[in-house]
Amino acid sequence: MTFNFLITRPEHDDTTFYLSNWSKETIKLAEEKEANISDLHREKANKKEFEERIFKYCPEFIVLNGHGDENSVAGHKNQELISIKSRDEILRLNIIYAISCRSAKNLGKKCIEKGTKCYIGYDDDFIFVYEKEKISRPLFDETAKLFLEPSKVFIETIIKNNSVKEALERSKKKIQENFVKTLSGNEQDTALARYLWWNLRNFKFHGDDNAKVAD
Amino acid sequence: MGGENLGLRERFLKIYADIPLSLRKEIILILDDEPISWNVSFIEVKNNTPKSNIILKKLNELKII
Amino acid sequence: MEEKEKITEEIKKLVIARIEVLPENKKISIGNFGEFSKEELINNINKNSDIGNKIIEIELEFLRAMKKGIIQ
Repeated sequence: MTFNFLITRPEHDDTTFYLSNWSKETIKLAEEKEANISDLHREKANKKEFEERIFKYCPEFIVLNGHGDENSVAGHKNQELISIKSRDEILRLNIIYAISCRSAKNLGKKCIEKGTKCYIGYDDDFIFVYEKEKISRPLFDETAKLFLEPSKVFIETIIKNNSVKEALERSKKKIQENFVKTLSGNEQDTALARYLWWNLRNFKFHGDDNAKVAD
Repeated sequence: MGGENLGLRERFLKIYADIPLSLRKEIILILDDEPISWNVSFIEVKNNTPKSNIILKKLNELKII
Repeated sequence: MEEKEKITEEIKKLVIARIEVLPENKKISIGNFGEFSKEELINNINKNSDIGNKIIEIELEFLRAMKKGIIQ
């Protein structure tokens, strides 16, 4: 099964650096599945590259790491990549997953309106906690793992050609597991629980959750 | 006033029973500059102390119960 | 949090007390707002900034969620 996979990985602050690094393994998995991969890393996560890849490859699965708001998602150095004002061809896609703040609120709905099969994201701010001393080795950060691993689970489930519904279930289950884990820890671990709860509450989808990368 | 607080007391006790043990240590109120946790509130409310009336009223105002 | 809920000094003191428990060695990434240490969050709450109000919103919503049962 081959499909086109596009992922944006800006890296201009701690947040995007963490998101970018925690997405790396998903790219390896996509390679194993022989996907045709567009990895828009750092400066390549710009509007021109993004739109060119969409026109050229019509990716069946797009992952957007980066900052956002209700109407748009950005790439490297917060250059806007996609918004409710983008051309119809940019908004008419298969599966989009945005690990980005608030974009599920308006952009997600707009994409569905324009023909995207399924848009998954957050309708409020995405939050994660990380350890200051692990900034140079984000994949060894056990605190950040609680927040970013569920996202990795989602992406990997889709890459393995499961439905969005299945991916959401597995990802939400992982958030719940991590939430319960923090409740059984010490006081400082328990303090993290509220942010996991917040992300779970705001994790939404629009469109058809039966969507897959390949039918 | 007593009747109102009876309702609040029941609500508090019901909510408290379902809160994970580790979260019960969390602060839910500041009273006279003192932090008050779920556990501290429970002791006051269970024993129907004068302070419990104030605690319940404030938790109700904050929509925590 | 309801629209335009008034942030009283009481609410601010409560949220600050809850934030004080956060570990010193950790930072929080909050959407577009950026990354913050515990001290920075507390300063923002005191300054009534947008991020301060966001933190207050999160704390109050979490507290209020206990009514319906936090583990489902």
